[in-house]
Amino acid sequence: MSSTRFSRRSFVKGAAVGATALAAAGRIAAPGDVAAADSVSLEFWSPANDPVGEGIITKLVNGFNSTVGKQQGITANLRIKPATGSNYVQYTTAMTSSGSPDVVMTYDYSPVSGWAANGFIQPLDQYAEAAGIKQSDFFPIAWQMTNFAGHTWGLLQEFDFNQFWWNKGVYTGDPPKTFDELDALAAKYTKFDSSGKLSQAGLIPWIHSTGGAIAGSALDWNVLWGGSFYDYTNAKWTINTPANQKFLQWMLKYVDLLGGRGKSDAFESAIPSSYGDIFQYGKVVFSLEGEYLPQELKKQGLNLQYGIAHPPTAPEITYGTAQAGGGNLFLLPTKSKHPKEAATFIQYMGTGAQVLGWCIPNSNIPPTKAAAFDPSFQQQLPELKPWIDSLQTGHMVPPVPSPQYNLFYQTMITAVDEVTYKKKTPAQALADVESKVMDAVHQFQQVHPDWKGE
Amino acid sequence: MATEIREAGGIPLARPYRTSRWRRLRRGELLPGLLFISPWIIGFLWFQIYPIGASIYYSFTTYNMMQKPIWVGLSNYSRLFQQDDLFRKALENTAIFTLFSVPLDLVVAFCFALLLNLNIPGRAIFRTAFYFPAVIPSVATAILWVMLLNAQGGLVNVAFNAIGLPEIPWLSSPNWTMPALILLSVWTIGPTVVIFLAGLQDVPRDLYEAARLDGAGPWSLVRNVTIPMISPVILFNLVIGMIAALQIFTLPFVIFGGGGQMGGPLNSVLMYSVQLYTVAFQQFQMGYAAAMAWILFAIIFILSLVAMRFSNRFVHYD
Repeated sequence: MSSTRFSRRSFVKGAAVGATALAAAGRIAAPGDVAAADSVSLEFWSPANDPVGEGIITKLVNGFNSTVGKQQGITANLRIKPATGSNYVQYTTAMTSSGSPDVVMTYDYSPVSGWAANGFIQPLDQYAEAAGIKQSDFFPIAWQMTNFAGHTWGLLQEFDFNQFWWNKGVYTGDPPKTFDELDALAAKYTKFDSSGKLSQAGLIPWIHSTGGAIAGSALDWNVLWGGSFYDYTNAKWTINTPANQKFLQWMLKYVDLLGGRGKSDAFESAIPSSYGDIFQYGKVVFSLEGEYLPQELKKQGLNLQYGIAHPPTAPEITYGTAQAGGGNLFLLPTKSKHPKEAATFIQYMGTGAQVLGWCIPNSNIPPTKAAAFDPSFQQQLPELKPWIDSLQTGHMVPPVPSPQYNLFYQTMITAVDEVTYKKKTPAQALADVESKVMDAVHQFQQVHPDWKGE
Repeated sequence: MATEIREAGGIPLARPYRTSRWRRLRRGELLPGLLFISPWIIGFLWFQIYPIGASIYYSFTTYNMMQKPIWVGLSNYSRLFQQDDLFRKALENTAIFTLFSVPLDLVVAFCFALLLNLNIPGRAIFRTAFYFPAVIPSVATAILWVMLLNAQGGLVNVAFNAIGLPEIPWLSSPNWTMPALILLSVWTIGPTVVIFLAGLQDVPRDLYEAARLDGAGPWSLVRNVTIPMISPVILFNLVIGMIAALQIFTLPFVIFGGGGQMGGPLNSVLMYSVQLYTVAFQQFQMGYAAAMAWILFAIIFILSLVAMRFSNRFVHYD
């Protein structure tokens, strides 16, 4: 006889089936499953979480949505995703997924070549013409920074390079144009207190500056001494050469002048890095610093009286030569769902008044000639004239466009440490860097034979 | 199915009808039970088992997350041991850190637990105070200690100066960065102290009384009663502390990872997990990083096994 009683087992079975049915029904009814409207929605990630940057980016995105976006049926949705300490891990992993943003912005140049070589971002080539991107609008160096390995990889919003700064409260003379002049001045203005500690440094060549950490300073000084870590024409690394050893041999003079690397590091660490660098606080007389320092000084409320000029160079190097460092870029992820519309957005953000809208408040260098020579830029940022002059000398060196750039940067820091702590000679230190980088190049080329260059 | 019923002393040893009904009942409830725990099973398989399996597979491949993995066999492992001196440096630094920080943390935590076990006024406040650093986020801890250990003007060096000691370049000298990191590890011993405290409170009081009657002094009580009785807790804290030390990441990353210099001056505090992170997310070598992860797992597994294997020599269980 079958029982019609409602048993515990039948209740359990029914509840399980019911829960499964509810979950499936919830999915079916989930919002977002409605068919897309005519306008294309772009997901745009930006690391601009500082108060000034976030405000400007929000305004620029709203501007796009109300003008070009409205005309072409594109809506850009801004998501602020901080990239602390130049770590773009969230961006990297998102770009591998089906939830990839359509456009990413970076505050740094460092991830770009690695992303490009490993397929995280796609070239803009096929969209550039339709989007109105023209090489002639950009400074050659800005174009070089986004065009390598045969493709256009994105657009710069701004880019950075260092000039020579000095503390006018301590030194009121003309800026040195040669290394001999610089060395003499640095020695004159380096002082120790009664206990033997540094109280003022003329120059710390390996300074952990906001102008670009140790490795950044190394790249700058190497160019000014006539070296080059990369053959841009043949896209090959040229690390351990006599020309590249010169700046390290020069740095050794400063190790002795400053009483040893340990003393200078202890002196530098008086200012926590989050507060800026020691030059901004008037403790170092000469330094290489970036174009954004005037804004930084205002933010920190520092009253440094400064002068700016081109850095001194070796005799065979043109005065005004500079090594381009970082920059803000707009890039197109490979898994962007709307690449054509994303390219239109990138073109809008990376050109015209939008570039000025970013560069003036942030005291940054615009990549386009129109923005750099705009009267409003020159009136509001007259202290950036040395940078604009450098751009016009035609002696700008781009960052190394190699997928091994991050490895090179990390090992170069160690190389500078090893030389300045007198653990290795310049030749030994650069040999180590070369060995590690070339090993990585060979590994990379085995699995990426199509990538042009090292 | 009939089951032979055997009797022993008049008591049936098997009731076939009840057994098969019970089995039918159990089988009938199996499916709904599985359905109810299926979310956990799916989550466990998808978020735990699958990543573990995938990681093992990727360790034998070259993989950058965008392109399909390319099988390279043991190449990643051989490259790590034969060619990568940053791997060796990171392993060496991590081993040194573990060798010094784990015993130091155990000893300090044990001493604090002994003190907190005393019946003194305000004991609860002291216990809270000692545990408090453990609830501060690691990043905040790191930033705090960067300022405290500042070579010129940091509070630690100000205190040193006040008692006539020279300033120490804790974070800028390659000779002092590792000692600084080891000392910093003591800051977060709160949970270890709490576990020791729980163990101490489980020690029977009559053992202490009996030992005192036999003339045992304080040190003798600790050595011959307390330590043996809480030896299982010591073993637990040792293994957990060793695992945590071998995987240390946040403190060295935040303190020394600025400006691309992940390992501090001369890579003196380049830690294994930090190097793994750099290889994975800055050099996009996921397969190579996976191989590093499995080597670390093997090291932790072997050391834990050794600790458990030799524990019977020094661990006393009631």
